Amino acid sequence: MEKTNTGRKKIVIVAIVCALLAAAAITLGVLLGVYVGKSEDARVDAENSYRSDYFKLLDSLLDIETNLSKMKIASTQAMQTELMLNTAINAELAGQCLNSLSQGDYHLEATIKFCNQVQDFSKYIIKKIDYEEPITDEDYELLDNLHSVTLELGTKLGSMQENMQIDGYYFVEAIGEEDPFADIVDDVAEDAIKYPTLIYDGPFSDGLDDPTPHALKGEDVSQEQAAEKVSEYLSEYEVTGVEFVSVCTGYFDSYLFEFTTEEGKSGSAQISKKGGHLVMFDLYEEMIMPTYGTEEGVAVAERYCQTHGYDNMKAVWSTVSESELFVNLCYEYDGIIMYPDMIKIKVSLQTGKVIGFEALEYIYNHNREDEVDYSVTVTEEEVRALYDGKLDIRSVRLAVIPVGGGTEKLCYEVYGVFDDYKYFVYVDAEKGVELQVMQVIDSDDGELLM
Amino acid sequence: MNKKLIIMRSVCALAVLAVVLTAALAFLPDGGDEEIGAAVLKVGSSGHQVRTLQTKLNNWGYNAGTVDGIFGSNTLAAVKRFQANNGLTVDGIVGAKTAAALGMTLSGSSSSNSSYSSSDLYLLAKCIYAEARGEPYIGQVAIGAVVLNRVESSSFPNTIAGVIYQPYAFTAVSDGQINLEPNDTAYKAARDALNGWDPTNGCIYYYNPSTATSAWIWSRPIMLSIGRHNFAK
Repeated sequence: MEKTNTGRKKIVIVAIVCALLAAAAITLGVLLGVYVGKSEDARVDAENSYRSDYFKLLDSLLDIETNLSKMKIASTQAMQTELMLNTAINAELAGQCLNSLSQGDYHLEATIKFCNQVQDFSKYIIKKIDYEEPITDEDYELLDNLHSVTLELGTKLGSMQENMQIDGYYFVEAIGEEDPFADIVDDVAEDAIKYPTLIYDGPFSDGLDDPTPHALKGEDVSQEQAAEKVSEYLSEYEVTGVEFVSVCTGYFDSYLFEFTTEEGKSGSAQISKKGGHLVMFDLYEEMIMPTYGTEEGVAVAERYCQTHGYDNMKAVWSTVSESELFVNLCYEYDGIIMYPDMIKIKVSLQTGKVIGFEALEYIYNHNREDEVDYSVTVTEEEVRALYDGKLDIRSVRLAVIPVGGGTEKLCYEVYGVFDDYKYFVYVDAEKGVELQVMQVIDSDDGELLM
Repeated sequence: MNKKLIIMRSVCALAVLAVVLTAALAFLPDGGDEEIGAAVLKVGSSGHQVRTLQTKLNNWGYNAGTVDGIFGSNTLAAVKRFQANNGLTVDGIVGAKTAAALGMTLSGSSSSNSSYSSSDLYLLAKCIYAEARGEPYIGQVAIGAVVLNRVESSSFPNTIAGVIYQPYAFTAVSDGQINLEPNDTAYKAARDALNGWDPTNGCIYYYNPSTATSAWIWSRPIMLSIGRHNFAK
């Protein structure tokens, strides 16, 4: 009897174990199925997304091509503006689709650049039309070239549809492999599809590739001399160690150092080889409660410029982030603020000392030994009248601003408030047209300094 | 007979348990996204509502640090302490419940862009933290500067999000490290880069020479080396 009971107990235990194993196997199987299903879903989603971008890219290229083609015969300003606007919008869309189709292939850059330049050049033509400047033969020639390139690129990319239909081409499988899409994109990178150098007044102009560091004057300094300069520029601190990090060979040569101070703080500084000028320094500081006010901080920044030989620098803008005050200072000439000649200084509101300096824009743009007489034909009253009832104007002053392509314009800078937002408007002092409207966004909340 | 019944019941119960378990696992939500779409304050938020939040936390002794309108790590820690002490879910996100407990009303105000204007700083800080935490501070600023130089370059997307999320452009985005929360240092470096500090003087590439996977990168002229990274144009 006992034997029988023991035998039954064993059977029960074995049955339970088997049931548990079966349940575990079922659970694992179902989970695996769900996982595989989800992976396949994700793969299909990714392929669909790639294909959607591919077909949108073809649509955009076709729209660019037809609009550029129509531009050859359009004769009224309204139609020309509309065609150029359509071209710019579609070039932006084409660029976005190309970015999504990026497969870690650096050659895509040349094709993205083409889209960005088509967009930028179209905006440049629109501005010309706005300012009633003529579209020149050279402009038409460039537009014609862009049309040819778009047609060639679109035709080649369109032919990929055959690969998709016949060979079962999948973008998700082609990533990182040699594939027809990469080959076509490579044609632009490798000049098989040639397109012209575009030089015009716009941010993506080819003319911007070689800026000159105008403000760097004097003889070349050695690495050792540059290291000594670090201590001079950081005279507010007791510099205890300067260590060479790297030579920086950009548009001009400079030495990069790391330094430590007696208080145990560390930072880095860059000194130009030509003339031993301070290009930038940055000191890392833990954030603690500020003890200095904004006005005191701005005075510290202005004093730093005077002490280190940057004359006539005027603080134009300041913004506080935790215990750090960022101050933008611009060269002032004859009461005109020169925005391209800007130095940025960071002041600790905890110690009242300068903890950062950046002068790249100043180095590239400060070249005003032969000051020209700017033409002012519009009066301040006329500019103020433009914003009657629109803007609660707080200040108006003359300023030179960069307008792209390395060119500058003299403007009236109008600063005002509307509907709780702060605005800066820049009005051409010669032609009276608005060149720029800027809104101060909340995260940038800073103060204009007069 | 009874024992057979017990065995059958056990098997049935286990099978039901397995099915329920499977269903529960399969339909588990992917993440805590319940706040999506609602007006919330979290790390990276900024503006007057964050100032109000910091003031309230400081007044009640939760030490949110300087009242600067930026939701950083100090504010995050203070919010978590507040949530823990008040029986709320400790997630560091100020949604409707936490706001109500603080005596605040969160609004998705249409007249302010504060809820999305700080996204650039947040994204850049995330990219810096993911790509270069552990690098010297200047190396972190340099990574931020490379992202911003790409935004300005004609050969790359024209927004910070476009550059950072360009497929396969940054390793830390491809492997998901971009979703880590940045620390204070990354925020400071991002702020320096956004304010114009560029130790690379215009570089648009960087790579770690000991782990670079594309031979192509060697064809770019090296402009400088900081920490483990070479920077190139």
